[in-house]
Amino acid sequence: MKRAAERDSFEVLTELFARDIDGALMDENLKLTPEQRLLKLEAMMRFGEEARRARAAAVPAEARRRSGQ
Amino acid sequence: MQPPFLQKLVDALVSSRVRFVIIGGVALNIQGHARATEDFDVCYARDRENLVNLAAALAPLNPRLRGAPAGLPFVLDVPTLRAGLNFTLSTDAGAIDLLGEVTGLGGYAAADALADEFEFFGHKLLVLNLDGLERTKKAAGRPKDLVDLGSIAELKKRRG
Repeated sequence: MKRAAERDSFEVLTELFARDIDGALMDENLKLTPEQRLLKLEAMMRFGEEARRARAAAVPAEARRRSGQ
Repeated sequence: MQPPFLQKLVDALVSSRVRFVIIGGVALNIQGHARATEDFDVCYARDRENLVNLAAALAPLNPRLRGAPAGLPFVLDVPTLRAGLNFTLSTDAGAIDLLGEVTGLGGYAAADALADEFEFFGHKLLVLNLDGLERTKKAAGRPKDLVDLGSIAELKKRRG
């Protein structure tokens, strides 16, 4: 019985997360070929790397205020 | 222009005839859910020939243990692959996770049985299908896996 209850709560959680999915974006993605999807992922990864580099050199808001930027 | 890093890793594995199934976030992207991921997860076959091929494929890419202290001796060769099972590696082409066994799924044979064949970067490649991804995500059960499970459910609905 406990296993059934656990499974139920798991499915409820999955449904909750599924509710927030942007179906239109998913449909657009499904129009791409698998290779185009991979290239899109690569672009995301590159952006993530660039964001990490930028974060390392970022000037926090407080420091900007102090320096009058 | 340099080929994308995923292509470099795929080219290296395919040119050395490594038997592998693409799993994890990259598989989820190929199956149709766009979400960020930072590494390339593959489930690899553990027979001797494949371990030889896998070591040869990655050697030119300078594989090292991800997160290990700099200078820690590590050689990804057949004895190392045989002694271990799952490896999280950094390479000169990017991060790759080698899984001999996947939680909720099993080893290569189980992954192969639930893999779709896709053609990209000029290669025919095996990619874990939505049922396989669902099993791994349910077994892992982290918050990000619940989000992925929601996406998998939506993708399945769209495929009917």
